[in-house]
Amino acid sequence: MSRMSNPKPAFRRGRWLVLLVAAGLVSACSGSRVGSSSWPGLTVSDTTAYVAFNQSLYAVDLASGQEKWQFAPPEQDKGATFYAPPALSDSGTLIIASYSGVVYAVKADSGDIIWRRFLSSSRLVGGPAVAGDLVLVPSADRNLYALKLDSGADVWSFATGEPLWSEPLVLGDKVYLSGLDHKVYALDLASGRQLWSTELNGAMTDRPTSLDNLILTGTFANQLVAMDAASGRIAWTKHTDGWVWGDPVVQDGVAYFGDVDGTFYAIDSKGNVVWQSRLDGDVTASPAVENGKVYFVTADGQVFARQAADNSPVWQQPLDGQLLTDPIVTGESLLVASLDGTNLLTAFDATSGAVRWSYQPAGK
Amino acid sequence: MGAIWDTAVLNPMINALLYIYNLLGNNFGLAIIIFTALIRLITFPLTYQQQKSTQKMQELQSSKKFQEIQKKFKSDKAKLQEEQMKLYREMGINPFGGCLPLLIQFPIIIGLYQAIIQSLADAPLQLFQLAQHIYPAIPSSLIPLKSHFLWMDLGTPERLIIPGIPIGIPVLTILVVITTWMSTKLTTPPTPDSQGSQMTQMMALYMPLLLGYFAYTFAAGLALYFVVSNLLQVVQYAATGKVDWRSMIPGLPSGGARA
Repeated sequence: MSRMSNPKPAFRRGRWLVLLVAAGLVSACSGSRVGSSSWPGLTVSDTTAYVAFNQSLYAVDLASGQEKWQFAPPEQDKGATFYAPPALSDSGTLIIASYSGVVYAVKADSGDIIWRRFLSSSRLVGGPAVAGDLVLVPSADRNLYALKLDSGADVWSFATGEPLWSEPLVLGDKVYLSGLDHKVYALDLASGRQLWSTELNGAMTDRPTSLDNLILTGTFANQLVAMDAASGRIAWTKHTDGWVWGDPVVQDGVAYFGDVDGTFYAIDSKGNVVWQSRLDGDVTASPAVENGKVYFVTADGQVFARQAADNSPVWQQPLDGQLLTDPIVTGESLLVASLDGTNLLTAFDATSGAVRWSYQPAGK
Repeated sequence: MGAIWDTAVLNPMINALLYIYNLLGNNFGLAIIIFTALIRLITFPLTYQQQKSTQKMQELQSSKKFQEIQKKFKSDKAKLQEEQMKLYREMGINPFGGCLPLLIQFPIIIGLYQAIIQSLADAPLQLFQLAQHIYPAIPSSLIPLKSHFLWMDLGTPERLIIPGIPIGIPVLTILVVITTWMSTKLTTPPTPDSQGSQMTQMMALYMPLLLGYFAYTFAAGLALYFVVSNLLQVVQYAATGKVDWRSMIPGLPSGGARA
């Protein structure tokens, strides 16, 4: 067949163009898999704020906002990311959990590794908890692991039905655990033996809270549920406008929490509404309550300080980036971590709302 | 733009997927298969128009008049193009009629990919984003979705682990490559000119490789969509009576598209 000199028919050229556009677009939309998988995890000691975010954990001086040290994964764990709030022991050991399934115990004052422990290839989303000489680590592989604090050696593990994203609550010799499998578990701390479990209607992503003799947990079934701590029997249920992501924080017999539909609640131990407030933005973070004031943040970047008793405004400040991390009050400061904001961490004066300092890792 | 995309494409897709998932007893693999079939059904008029347009173009290129023009103006490309366009107009053919319907399907593919990834939400930020997309009528008790289907986790790239074999076998990727090659070969009619034929051959080579790469790299849910979509495309094409099965056998002369 002779080779013809006609130009490529327009529709065939177009088809190739379409293919290229498709390749680009599909590649572009895979971008949701890259970048941050979660928001910063924040923990404080008397002198230092520890922020787990992306590929590092940052230790920031509370007085000055200056970085003290930075923890990056060792060569063998290159590429690991950190979002779970680290846990701090009384002996000065910081427990860091990575999205690569590795737990590190480091010195809280230097970041030097004491031990390293690979659990499984699943993510460690929820924060670990220190209980005496144990470290409890929830894993997306559906297990809660109890490790020795001084060595990382196995003590026991407890299997649930779905990935675990929530930090366990330790009260005395019991562990309370909320799961994505719609269940709340009570375990014996020493052995990991199940004491009771209660099935709720929705998934749970945050640590349960204790109020009097009740265990409170928010669920994705638009509910705050109160269970008897001894038996797991449901005492009462409070319906909310949206998913309850962050755990309630209790002070003076009142539980404070928000939902992702943008309503903030103050509920007493009987399930009665003390007050509730409609906000413009979603709330995933648990609030902080201190000195009669409740501090909370909305995902779209507003920081609120209100009187805990009656919701009357104290101050309100905007902050850029997404505010999804639980704020923490320490001393005179309110610490707020931001996702994709100008600064990773901002310290507000808890009384006036003035910015005391901001911290952004160098080169970020 | 993002808000329009979410409202018009992504949100309906996520909620349709979740609705089907709920109806099918919380099986996300089956939900993707049924959803793909529905999408194929809804876009059938576009696919049909694309097939018709391609076929008309192919018939035109086989015609005596078209061949004469090629010969007559082979040294004057501008004139040749002008004459070709005139011929398209005379025959009532839109030269872009073959690719416009294809272009319209891309938002659907991209939306579906985003819908699969966001629905499976295997990290907090994705789950938070999912919360913004779900309609109130969808029961939140569905969350988190069960991402396992057969041996696969639909939220991650698929590999079949067989005891004794040190590496995982990308079964879905292989199926995507085979079914894409099949559907490209079967649904792209042979062209009389060598350049067009070359293009068809390249399409049959690169399309399976491109989609195979996506299947190997991205979530298995997308690969499952590709396989089901390819098979349904062949079925649809066969239903219109135009499939030339001989085109799949190398070296065998093609019978051409049958009207």
